[in-house]
Amino acid sequence: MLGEFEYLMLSASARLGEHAYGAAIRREIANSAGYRCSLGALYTTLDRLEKKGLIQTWMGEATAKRGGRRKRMVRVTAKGVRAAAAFYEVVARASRGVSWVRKPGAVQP
Amino acid sequence: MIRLCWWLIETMSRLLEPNERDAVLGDLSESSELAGRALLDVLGLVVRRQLASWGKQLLRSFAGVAIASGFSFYFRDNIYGYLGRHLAHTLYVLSLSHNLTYARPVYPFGLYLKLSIMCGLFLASPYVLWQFWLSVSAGLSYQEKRSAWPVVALSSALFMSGGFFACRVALPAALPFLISHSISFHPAVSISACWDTAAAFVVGVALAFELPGLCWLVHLSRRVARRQRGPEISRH
Repeated sequence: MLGEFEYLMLSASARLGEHAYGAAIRREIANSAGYRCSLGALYTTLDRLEKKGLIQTWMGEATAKRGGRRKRMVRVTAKGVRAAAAFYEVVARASRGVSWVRKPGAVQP
Repeated sequence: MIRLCWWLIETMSRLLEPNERDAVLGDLSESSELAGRALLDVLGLVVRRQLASWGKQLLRSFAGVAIASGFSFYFRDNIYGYLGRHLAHTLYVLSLSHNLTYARPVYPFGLYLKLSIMCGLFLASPYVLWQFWLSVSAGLSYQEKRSAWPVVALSSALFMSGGFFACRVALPAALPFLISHSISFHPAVSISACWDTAAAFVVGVALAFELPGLCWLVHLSRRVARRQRGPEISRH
């Protein structure tokens, strides 16, 4: 079972596709989840996910925008996709019939 | 201030693995992060990485010191009697009251606790060094491992002999010198002030004795770190 932050990372990486790397994932998490993720949390979670076989990482090309530094590129593996889907299923099932789940078209109080 | 922060970030990031360092510094320059926030981020990552690599050994070392301290606490009166002998003698020679004072009820217990921890540190020092050695030895060649064995043993012996030297020779010589300067003042020597000084003195001298061995172990750990980032160094 994934952790909440691991799920956020997998979702952000999947959404970014072939443009998924450290800084982009941080931005994506900040935009989607609304909180700032620290570098420590990001890179240790990337390591953990890679160890579990849920993502693959490799060093990309250096760019001038990054001061000639290389990116750590991220790709979600098939196992990662399955794990994220399973997590989402569990959250969706667990949330069914709960009052804080907004129905489509309902006005928020 | 901003420059200092970036200099600190550059320096601290050297503790990271080269590829990770590249990615982290690149991410920071790309995201135009505030210097202070970036510094905290890098510090957090460095601490996480260091704890991950030293964590198990650190935990075992703490456990070793704690067990040895518990054992020492059982013999607290003997330890106090042994270490306090010189202090009482010095105070007697200088015609000062050897009845030490305390301001709070917790101080006498605190004193015994501190002394126990200090003795625990000495008793557990071979084990602590052994743990340090274990964290380094995985990256060493067979010859290096063989050459380091005597250094670990010697370091423990030096640490203990440093403590013994401080208790038997340095402390009895230093105390009269320190206290003789207070003759013109009214003395109210408290147990915590007096024993804090003595404990810091003993541990300090013991560490000074152990320095050659520590230097050698740090040298070995740096060699292991360099070896781990070998391909990166040859790239530059």
